[in-house]
Amino acid sequence: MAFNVSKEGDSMEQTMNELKSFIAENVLSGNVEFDNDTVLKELGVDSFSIVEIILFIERKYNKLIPDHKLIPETFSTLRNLATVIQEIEE
Amino acid sequence: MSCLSEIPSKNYDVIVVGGGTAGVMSAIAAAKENKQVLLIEKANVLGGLATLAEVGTICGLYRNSSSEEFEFNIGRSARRFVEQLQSRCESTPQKDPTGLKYLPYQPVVLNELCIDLLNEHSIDFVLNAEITGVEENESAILSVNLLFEGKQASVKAHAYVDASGISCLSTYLNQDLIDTDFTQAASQVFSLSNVEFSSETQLSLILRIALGRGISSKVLENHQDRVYLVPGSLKNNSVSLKVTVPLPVDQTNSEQLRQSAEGMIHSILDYLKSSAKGFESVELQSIADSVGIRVVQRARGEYVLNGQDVLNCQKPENGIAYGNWPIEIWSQAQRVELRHLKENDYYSIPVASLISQNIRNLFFAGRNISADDEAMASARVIGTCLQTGIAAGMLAAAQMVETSSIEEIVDRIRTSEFN
Repeated sequence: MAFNVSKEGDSMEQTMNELKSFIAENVLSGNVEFDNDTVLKELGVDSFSIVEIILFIERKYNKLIPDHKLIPETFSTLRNLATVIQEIEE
Repeated sequence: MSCLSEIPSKNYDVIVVGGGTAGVMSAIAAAKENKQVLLIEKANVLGGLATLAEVGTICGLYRNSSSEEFEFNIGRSARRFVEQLQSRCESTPQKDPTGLKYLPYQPVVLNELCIDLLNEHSIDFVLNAEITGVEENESAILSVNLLFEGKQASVKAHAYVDASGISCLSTYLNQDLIDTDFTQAASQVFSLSNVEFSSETQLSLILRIALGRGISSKVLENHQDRVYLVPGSLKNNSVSLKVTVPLPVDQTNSEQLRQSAEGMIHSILDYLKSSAKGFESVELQSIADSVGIRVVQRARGEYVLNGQDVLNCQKPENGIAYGNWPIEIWSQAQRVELRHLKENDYYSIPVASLISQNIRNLFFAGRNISADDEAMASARVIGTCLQTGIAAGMLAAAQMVETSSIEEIVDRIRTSEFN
């Protein structure tokens, strides 16, 4: 197995893991399987939960998600969320 | 003109207390049986909370299914009312992300429709009239006293329908009330203009995020994020929102609830204008005349409909109204709690829930039917209130026909409304 992931990739991976555990513990009930590309809406993540996730991100990373990123596409998957977080961090 | 300026000295066949959607339908149903009807309303408009609290959506009309179809599953007369309202409002039914189906309407139009229908059926009605007492003898109501135009009056009928929403007649008669396990939170509707959103989903999202941020940063108090969009209300840059009032509800504190709501609306609005994109230039257009009190007390009837009847979709043989709405509980929690009926199924409300336990000429309609808190959390919606209104009106109209039994009346209701 080749371990040549860049540092950026690591932190992206870490962000997705953090989001994943928040969602698993606080949003979904029971053991729901999902990965970084699962469409969250299909897991039953509703608009209230989306808001919880956004507020969690803003607290945890101490950053506001810019207005133009507050669109459905941003919240569709863990990967999209993490990408937006990375962009603010830069 | 059937809107009266004084109380006539004549005796009526049926008196309906409360001019909400249930009361209006009761009056019409009794008038269609060729009865002389008087409807007594305490506000200056008809439609009750549907008008005064600007509820904004008619719920409980459509079959509970995941399909995209909007299939009416209510009695025939209720459906006719809704179709007239829909055509006057030029509105289309909506389905929310959780699959609930409802019809948006304009409160002003609903009031006008109620007035037109009462006039069409030559039904006498009084507005701004308050019930001040009830005379009873041998387990029957003899007359009701009311204050109207500054004068006390007394008026008689053979039968009475309590559609007051607060079980006004039963309370005056010291009837047994149903124990309450919880109260539904009250909410206040208000509307904003200059709203720069084209999608309700996006508006709702930005609103919730802004309020959440306000609480995280302690600019808003903890309960101030209980603000919800009235679905279907965004048009021409204006929108209606409702806020949950953070106070316990009883039927005596509506003024206090409203004051608390007004204060909250102003602070929330100041915050939104300064902090939420799309809300910068919004203006407070209006605050609904009444705070929406979802449920208050009910008297015990011959049967108390319960939450299990609703969730198990019971359909008793003497059912006279169909319920399609989930048990919907608004507490002080941020999220409304929904307990769904079975897919594609509904429940039917037994006639016994509309009949007073002790008073033989008193019938219940709307939010006064005999149901426990859980059942009422479903049956309180307008779609169900219309139908219990019709059934109570037909029961009251049949009251003086001594030859007909309850079974025969139920049969007539079921035949004319559901077959």
